[in-house]
Formats: sequence, C-alpha cells, structure tokens
Amino acid sequence: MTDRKYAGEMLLVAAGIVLLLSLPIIVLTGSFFMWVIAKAFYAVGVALFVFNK
Amino acid sequence: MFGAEFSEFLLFLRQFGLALVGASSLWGFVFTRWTRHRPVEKDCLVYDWIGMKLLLPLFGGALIVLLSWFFFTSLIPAYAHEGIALTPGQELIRGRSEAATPYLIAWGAILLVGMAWKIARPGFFSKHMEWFYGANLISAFFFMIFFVYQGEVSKEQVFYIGHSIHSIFTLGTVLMLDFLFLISQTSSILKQHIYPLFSVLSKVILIGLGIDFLSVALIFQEAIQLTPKFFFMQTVVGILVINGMLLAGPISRRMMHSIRQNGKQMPHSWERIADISGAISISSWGTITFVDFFHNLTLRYIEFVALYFILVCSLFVLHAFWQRFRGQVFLPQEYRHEVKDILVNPS
Repeated sequence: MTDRKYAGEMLLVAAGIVLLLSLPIIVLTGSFFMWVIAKAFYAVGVALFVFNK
Repeated sequence: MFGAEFSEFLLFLRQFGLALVGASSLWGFVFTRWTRHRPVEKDCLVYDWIGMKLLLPLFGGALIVLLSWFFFTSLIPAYAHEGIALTPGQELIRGRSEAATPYLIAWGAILLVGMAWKIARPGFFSKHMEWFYGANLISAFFFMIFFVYQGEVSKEQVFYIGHSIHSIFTLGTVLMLDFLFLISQTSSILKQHIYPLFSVLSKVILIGLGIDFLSVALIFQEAIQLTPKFFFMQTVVGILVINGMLLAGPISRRMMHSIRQNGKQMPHSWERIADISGAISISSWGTITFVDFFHNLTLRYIEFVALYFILVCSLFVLHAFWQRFRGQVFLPQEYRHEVKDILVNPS
C-alpha cells in the first residue's frame, strides 16, 4: 500500500474523530472552528486516498 | 408520530428508490462496459453475470420510486381538502411531482421495454445491456434534479441538486457494495472478482460525501440550526467516516489477503469485525438519508442515538441469520462450463 493512501486513511479517521469531538465544543462555545478543521482533514484525506498509485 | 409526516416518508422512499436505481445503473454500466472492453478474457463472464444481477436492485428501486410518486401525488391533494394549509415548500414539491408525470411514464416505458427484451430475446439484451443501464442512469440523474429544480440559478439550487444526486454515490453505492458482498459469499471465484472492486466503490462513496459537504457549505450560514437532529446527524457522519475507513482499509486488505490464499476464510475475529462494520455502514447511511427528509422531528438527541443503536444491532442480527441460512450461488447454465474451465485452467 502506498504512503499516500495510508496517509489518506489516517487523515480520514482523524476527520471523523475531530468531527465527533467538535460537537460538544459547538454545544459549549458555539464555535465551529474544529468542525471546519474536520472538513478540511476530510478533503485532504479523500484527495490522498483517491489519487494514489 | 415524533413530528414525522407521511408525505416526508414518501419523499424519502422516492429518494431511496432513485439512489438505488442510479447506483445499480452506474455500476451495471461500468461492469458491462468493462466486459465489452475485454472480450477475449474469460474473467469478463463474471462481470457479465454481475451486470445481470444488478437488474434486481434496479427494478426494485424503480418500483419504489413509482409507488412513492403515485401515493405522494394521490395523497397530498387530500391534505388540502381536509383544510390543512400547504407550506410554499410543500406546494413546490407537489408541483414538481405532478410535472414529472409524463417523464415518469416515459421512464416506465423504457423499463417495460427492457424487461420485455430480456424475456423475449435474452441474448440480444445481454449484448446491449450497458445501453439499458446508461438510459436508466441518465433517468435517475434527471429525476433527482427535476424534483428539486426551482426554476432559478442560485446557490440554493446548487445545494438542492448536489444534496440530491450525491445519494447515488453514497447511499446507493453503499447498497451496491453490500449487495455485491452478499452475492460473492458462497463462491471463491466471485470473491476474487468482486473484492478488488470494493476499493473503487469506497473511493466513489468518499467523493459522494465530499459533494454533499461542498453543497452544504453553500447554504450553511442560512440553514444551520443547532437542533438535536443536527447534532445527531453530525454524530452519525463522524461514525460513518471512521467506519468507512475501517472497511476500506484494514478489513478490505484482510479480505484481499484471504482471496490471495485461494479463497481461504478470513479469521473468525476479522469476519465478526467486518459484519459489525457492514451493519454500521448501511444503517448509518440509511439513517442520515432518512432523518434528512423529516423537518419537524421532536426526538431528543439521546432518543435519536438509541433508535440508531437499535437499528445497527437489528441489521447485524439479520445479517447473522442470512449468513447462517444462505443458499448456494446458482450461476446460469451457459456460465458454468466456462467458469469450470477457469478453475481447471487458471492461466
């Protein structure tokens, strides 16, 4: 398995975890910063996972 | 019940049916076209057989779409007669459903002609099956866009279109992945051909979810509401992203390893993990699509989570029963000789 695909998998798992962790942050502070970070992780993770040799 | 309307349930069924039609047409087209590009290889017979099998979810999805459209256009006028006012959104939805009537009739004719060809001239149908799948794929995209088209070009319109068509790449493709997994279980030859496809399907699912994220970003500021439904949906999205990577990563690699060992079964622990992961996958995608169609649900967050957990457990138990009592895969007679030849002469 290529390094890029492996990095993509890790980033996508991180995206899911950060998304889940962002929810209590939204409830407590109203801030969507972590939620946006999760989406950014997702975008990069998908790119690495999909576009690999 | 719980703030849910029957009309919303019918709209969910319509979307579910279109996702099923779209995904089965997409992958049916891919597999049957793949066959045509590799005419001299015996492997293509397996993809041809898979292409035929995908007619089942295609016709099943079409039936769901047509029945839900029929009940929706029949029942919604009854609400107005009872003195219940329609919201502008409901009027638009009802209007689009009625306007779709001639196109749905045309699509129904395509399906009937295809079915008649398959029965009357199966060889001809088999040779040109990709065109039938292509026509249905175009139809699925057309109806998904038609039902949400508001007559103006705006970011809301782009959101509705993206949010609608992504179901083909996400929920629909997840259903295809599960369908292909189930039909491959009793044949090592099918496993050898189907398992390598899971990587491609997983990538399409990830891209489909990305399409939805992008379309939501267009209307996020106006549409965001911090309700129990929002937090529950985000929870399920987080779970399905993590679970999706488990399926597309370690579990997929384990499955490929098992077929490289001449169809040797995966270790029991990995099989159990795969079963749980599969149940989480299909229930998560079904849940977020289902809940999305109900705008006034009165459930609390913990109630949402409890129902979701019950659904995951139920699907896991159902799958366990299926595994226990499944029958053998019956390949059509004309394929058995060639498949046997592949087994005897694997070169």
